[in-house]
Amino acid sequence: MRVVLLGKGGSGKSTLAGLLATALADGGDRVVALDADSVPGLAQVLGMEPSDDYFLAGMAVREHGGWHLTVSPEETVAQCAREAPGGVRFVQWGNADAHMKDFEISRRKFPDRWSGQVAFNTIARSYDDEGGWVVVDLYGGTLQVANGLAGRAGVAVVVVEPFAKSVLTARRFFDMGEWPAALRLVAVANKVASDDDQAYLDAELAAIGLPLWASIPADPAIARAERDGRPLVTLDPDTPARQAMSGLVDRLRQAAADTPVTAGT
Amino acid sequence: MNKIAVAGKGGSGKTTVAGVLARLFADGGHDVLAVDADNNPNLGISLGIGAERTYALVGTREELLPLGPAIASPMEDLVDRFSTEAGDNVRIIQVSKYDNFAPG
Repeated sequence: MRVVLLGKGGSGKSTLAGLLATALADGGDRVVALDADSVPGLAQVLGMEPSDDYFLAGMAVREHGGWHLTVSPEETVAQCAREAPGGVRFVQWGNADAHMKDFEISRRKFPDRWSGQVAFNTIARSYDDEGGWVVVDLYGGTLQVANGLAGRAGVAVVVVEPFAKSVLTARRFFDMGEWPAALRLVAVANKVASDDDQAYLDAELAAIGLPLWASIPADPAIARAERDGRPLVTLDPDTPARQAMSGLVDRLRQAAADTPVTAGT
Repeated sequence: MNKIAVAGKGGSGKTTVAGVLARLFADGGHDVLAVDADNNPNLGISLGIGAERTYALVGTREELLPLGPAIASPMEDLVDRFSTEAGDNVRIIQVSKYDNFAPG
């Protein structure tokens, strides 16, 4: 099943994507993590050396007037994913340097990267693994979701902090229009430091109409690891944030069990 | 005119710093235009105009798109048309907001 992480910049999408992917892999499941962000974050959370590589460079070609993957999505991931220490297979979009310039110039100058971006977008939109998990970490804000990168099936998790800006961002996601029927939009609270924070988010999310699937506490162990640039997979499994992930994992496993057939993507 | 750009990683505090700078310069007697160029625009909250008013601010891109590719207006006209009073010598303008699924 696909799980897509959305939210405001800095809300903890990469952190939760990494902890979630690791928790699912710890349970023996197949997990592919896709990092759609150009700022390397998820690689570090998973304990990989951050790199600027376009993992899918050259994996799409332009023919018959459109772009196509050179091999099937499954084969693309099998060939290009790199193994992270926790057993998660990892694929990243790449670095923004070629992207930020004029599109036509960058396409001619960096054809492989361009092809890699196209291939990544195709995978991020539609790749699924029946019986396994695909965890997609999107860029902060609504832009990639507006462009369809959240896909059409699975669970879209809005990561929400107990802050007004984060809640306003969650509301924007909810109000974007008609979400695909097979893609459930839910919220996960992050950095919750008090009962007051929890009560604030309970009220705000209820007002928006977003179901809250889990609450991850503010955790000094995570803050220390982020400060020192240490991978979060090395954290003590008993640390509060990792413990709280088990609630989300349970909800997701239940959702996967309740989904009769993998919806076409 | 002085132009100050604030950049950094998501969640590092760009919007908070920009909002505080805008208010401080305005307190010092300057007219300030606060430009929210983030495509997830929250600067209104840091300026203190509240979540509802921030949510309701238009995206200049979204307003201009239906008008076609030609943007003939001078920059000053765009600022006049699409900026909003944020109180105490500060006006705010949002560049874009991507608040709907793209068609197709």
